[in-house]
Amino acid sequence: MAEEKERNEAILSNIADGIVAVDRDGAIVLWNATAETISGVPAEEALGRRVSEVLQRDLAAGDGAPPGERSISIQRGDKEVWLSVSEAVMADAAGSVAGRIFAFRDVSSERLVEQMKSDFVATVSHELRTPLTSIYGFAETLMRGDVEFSDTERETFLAYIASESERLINIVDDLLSVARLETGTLRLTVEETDVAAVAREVVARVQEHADRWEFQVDVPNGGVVVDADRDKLSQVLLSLLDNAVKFSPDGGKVSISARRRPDGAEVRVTDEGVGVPRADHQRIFSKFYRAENGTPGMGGTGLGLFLARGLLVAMGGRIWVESKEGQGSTFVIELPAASSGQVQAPAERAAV
Amino acid sequence: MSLRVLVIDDEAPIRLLCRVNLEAEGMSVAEAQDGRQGLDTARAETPDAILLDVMMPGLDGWSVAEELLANEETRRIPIIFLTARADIRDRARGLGVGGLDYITKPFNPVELATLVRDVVAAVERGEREELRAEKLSELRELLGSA
Repeated sequence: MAEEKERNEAILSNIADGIVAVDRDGAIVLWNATAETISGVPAEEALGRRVSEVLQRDLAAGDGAPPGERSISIQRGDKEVWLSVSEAVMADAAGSVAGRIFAFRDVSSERLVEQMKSDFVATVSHELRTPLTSIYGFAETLMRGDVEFSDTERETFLAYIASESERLINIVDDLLSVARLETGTLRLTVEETDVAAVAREVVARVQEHADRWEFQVDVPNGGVVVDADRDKLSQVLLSLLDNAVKFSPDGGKVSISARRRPDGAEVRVTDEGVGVPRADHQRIFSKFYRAENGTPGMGGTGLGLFLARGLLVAMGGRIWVESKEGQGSTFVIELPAASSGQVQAPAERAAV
Repeated sequence: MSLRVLVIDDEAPIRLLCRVNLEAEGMSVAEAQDGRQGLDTARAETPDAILLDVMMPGLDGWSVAEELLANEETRRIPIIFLTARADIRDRARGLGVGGLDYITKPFNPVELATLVRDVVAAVERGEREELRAEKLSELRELLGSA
């Protein structure tokens, strides 16, 4: 009998779930090692007390509660921990409750992922609805039979339909690229690409709808040629410039520079905006991350930098940020040299 | 007398969309591109109605509505939320903070003037609370069927 009890206790103490048993009076008689880890309460502090005293809440579902696993939260220090709890009632020969056993797992990280997914769906829905409003709205407006719009007005409405459609396409492209990056099905068309030319094009696009900012393009004559997928590089630079504008709400200078390096090219995008706190320098590149020091209500899917890094890594490059909070940011990109070696200064340039 | 409407939205195309469609129905329109500017314009011009976006840089629409309703000069101006936040809890929040209607984007701008006119007329008849109660009960029905 003693041997069996010992064996049972050995199993329970090594099991991956937290196991807690209480007697008919609700006093804890078993608190295994996993229960200690999950709750942060050692067994010697828990044994003999009631669960509600130890965890500041009860694990029992109460009479009439539906059977099966339930999610509840407990506090471990200042951290909220979510548990998935199942419960078994032990009855004595007379059929009355002789005790209860609870098994639980820490599901906090699963819960966080679910929360992030649900926030993401809400964000994407918002991001899609905004350009759709303009497209649908201006189309309906143009179809009004009771108003005669001038040619200039009609052109403005059509231009908005076009530019907001483009915005919608960019969001959908981002979503597709993320899905492809994650499934390893992203296709790159790597060819010799002049970073300087791409930078100029992207600046021209961003400038169209950001007239409060001063844009500066600093690229050497003769261009900076790397091996890259031109469209993807353009997508990355667009995302960086959009961020530069978004995070410098008071306007200011946004500059983009490209330089040849012995083993590749370096592109720097600098703004005079809110900056990135040191602690977030890595985190900003993670999926769904959205800046907290940005102003609330700022748009964005939280995919831009995640995607930028993914695309650059896929092209053999890398990206990082140099910034202090409140003092603007510089995003630095490195890309490998073109296999033809054209990244080196052209002869005529070197001779100057 | 023509109605004067203030549109508070950070998206220029959406402000234009509201402007042309409301002006087409004889209303006059003022615009504000963020919450702070919206509050200033509302105090200065006391429009007959406000179309208010929620997610804007700086002061968001919820805070703008609260400030408008807390201020003696602006608390009688009917607020209609106009937002891409389509979640039912956001609708409840919009009506909860004192909005009289809640339009989710995308919306048909051709119908905007009628909607504004109806809300303003109901408020002028002294039916502000009835209107809110009606919208809240619509919402409860939606919640019930969800």
